[in-house]
Amino acid sequence: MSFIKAEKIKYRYPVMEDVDAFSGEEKEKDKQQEEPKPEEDAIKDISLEIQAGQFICILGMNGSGKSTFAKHLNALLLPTEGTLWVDGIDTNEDEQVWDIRKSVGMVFQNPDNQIIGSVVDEDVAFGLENLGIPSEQIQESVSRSLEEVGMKDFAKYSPNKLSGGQKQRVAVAGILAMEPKCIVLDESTAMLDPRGRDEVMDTVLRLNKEKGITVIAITHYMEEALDADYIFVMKKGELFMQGTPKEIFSQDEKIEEAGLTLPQLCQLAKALREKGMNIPKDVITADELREAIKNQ
Amino acid sequence: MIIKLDNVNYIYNQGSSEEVKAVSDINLEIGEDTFICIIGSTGSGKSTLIQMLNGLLVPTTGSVTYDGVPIYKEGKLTKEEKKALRNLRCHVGLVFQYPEYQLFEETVLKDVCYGPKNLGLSEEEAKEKAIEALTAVGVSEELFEKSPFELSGGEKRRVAIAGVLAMEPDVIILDEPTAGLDPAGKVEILDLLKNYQQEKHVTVTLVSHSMEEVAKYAKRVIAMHKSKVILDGTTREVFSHRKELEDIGLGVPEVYEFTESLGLEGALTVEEACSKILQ
Repeated sequence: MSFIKAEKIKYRYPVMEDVDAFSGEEKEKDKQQEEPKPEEDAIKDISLEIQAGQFICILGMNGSGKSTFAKHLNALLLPTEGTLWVDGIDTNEDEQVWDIRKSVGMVFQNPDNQIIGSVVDEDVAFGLENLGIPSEQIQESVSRSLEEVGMKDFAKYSPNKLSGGQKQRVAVAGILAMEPKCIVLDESTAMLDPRGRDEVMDTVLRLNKEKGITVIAITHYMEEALDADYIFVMKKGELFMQGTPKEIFSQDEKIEEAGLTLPQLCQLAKALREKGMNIPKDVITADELREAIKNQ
Repeated sequence: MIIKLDNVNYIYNQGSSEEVKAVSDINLEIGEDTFICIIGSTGSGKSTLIQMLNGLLVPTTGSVTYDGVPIYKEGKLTKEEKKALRNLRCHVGLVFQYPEYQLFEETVLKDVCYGPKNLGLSEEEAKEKAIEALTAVGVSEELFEKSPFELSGGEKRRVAIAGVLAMEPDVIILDEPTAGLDPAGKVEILDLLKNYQQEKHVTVTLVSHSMEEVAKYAKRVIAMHKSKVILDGTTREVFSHRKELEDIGLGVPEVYEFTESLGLEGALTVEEACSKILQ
C-alpha cells in the first residue's frame, strides 16, 4: 500500500468576504452583488501515489498549488472534494488528525518563523512536551535528533545565533524527535546560502537513505530535483507532469511550459544538441554529459 | 557618482559582551556604470555593508563619501544640514529582501509615488516618475489603480522595486531580489534590472546566493567572508578563485565546474560553455 494516496482531490480557499472576521460566522450575502466572485480551485483533481521511503520533489511556478497540496499532507488543509490517505488514514477523519501530524512533519521556508524555543534543545523538545512524554525520555530523543542533523554541539545555543541552514536543521530535528515517517520541505532552502542549502538537503537525504523516512521536497532549485526518485510538476493547480528525473528533464519544452527551467547541465546538453552534437536526451548528470561528449 | 568607503568598520552592540564585528577594514569604491554582485555566506557582513552604503547604518569607524562629500556629520546638525544629508543619501536606493512586505498604500501608483513625493516633488512630477518606473519594471497601466495586495508575488516585488527606481538613484542596491521567486520570476527581475542598468547607465548592485545568476549577470563581483572583502574583480577573475570560493561555502556555477573538468577554461554561462566545448 502506498504511503500517500490522493484521489481526485480539489481544494478551494474560502472567500474571506463571506466570513465575519470576528465571529467566524458566514455573513449574509450582499444583495447588490448579484454575481458571485469567480472562484478557482487552488488544486484541481489531483490523483497521485507516493511510496514509503521515496524521495519526491514537487516543482512548479509560484501559485501553481504546490504549497496548498503540501498542507494537505499533514491535514493542515482538508480537501474540498476527493480523498487523501496518509499512511492509510483518511485525512478527513478528525480523531486521527494528530496521528497524521505525528507521522508527517513540515519544514517551512522561513527559518525564523518556526523556531519558538529560546534555546535549541528546548525548541526540539517542544513537540514531545506537548504529547506529555516523560522528561528523561524527551532529553534522550532530543539529543539523538540533534545528533542526527549534526547540531549536537549547539544544543545550548540561542537559535538566533545560528545560520539559516543550522536553523532549518534544528527544525528538522524537532520533527525527527517525533519519529515521523515522512518529512515535507516546503521551499525550506529558498532563503539559504549555497552551503546552508547543501547542509539541509544532505541531512534529509541521509535520513531518507538510512532511516527510510519518506521525503517530499517542494523546491525552485531544479538541481535538488536531480536526486529525486520521482518528480511531480504542478501547473495552475493541476498535476502537469510526473516521472523520474530523466523522464522529466528530457522534456525541455514541457518544462518551459510549466514555467520552469532545466538544471544548468541539462541546458548545456540541450545547447550542444542543438549545435549538432549527438547527446542523448536523457543525459542529466555531469558524468553522463562528460561521457557523451567524449564519445563524439 | 562614486561611493567610497575608507577603512570602514561596523561593530554591533559595541562595548557589551555581545559585541560582534560585522564589517572590518573595508576599502571599496562603487559607482561606475556597471552591474555588480555581492556574494558571501550568511553572516559574512553583506547586509551590514549595503546598509552603510546609503547611511542607514553609520560606520563605527571609517568614512563613507559620495563623490568626496561625506554622508555623515558629527555633532548637532541644523535642520538644513540634516535635509542636505538626507537628499544626498537619496542618490543611493536600497531595496530590501522581500520588499513586497513594505508596500502599504491604497493603490500601486500611490505606493510608487511615495518616494519621489518625499524628495519634495509635486504630485504631478511624482506621478510622472512613478509611471516611468512602473513602466521600466513592466507593470502595465491596468494595475496602477489596483491595491498592491491584489497582485501576484512577482508583480508585488516589481512594484516595490519601482518604488526605489522612481527616486532615480544613481546607485541601486538590492538585497537578494530574486529570493523565493520561481525560475521564470527570477529571470524576469534580473533581465529588467540588466536592461535598466544599460539604459540609464547607473550602478546596479545586488546580493545573490546563486552563483549561476551571478556569473550570468554581473560584470564585477565582490566576495565577502567573515566581515571582510576577500575578492573583488571582474566576474571571470573572481570565479577563477574556485578553491577559495568553495572554502567559504560558495563555489562556482555548475557549467564552470563542468567545463573545467573537461580540461577547458571555466565557462560562466551555458552559451559560453557550449562554444568552448564545440571548439
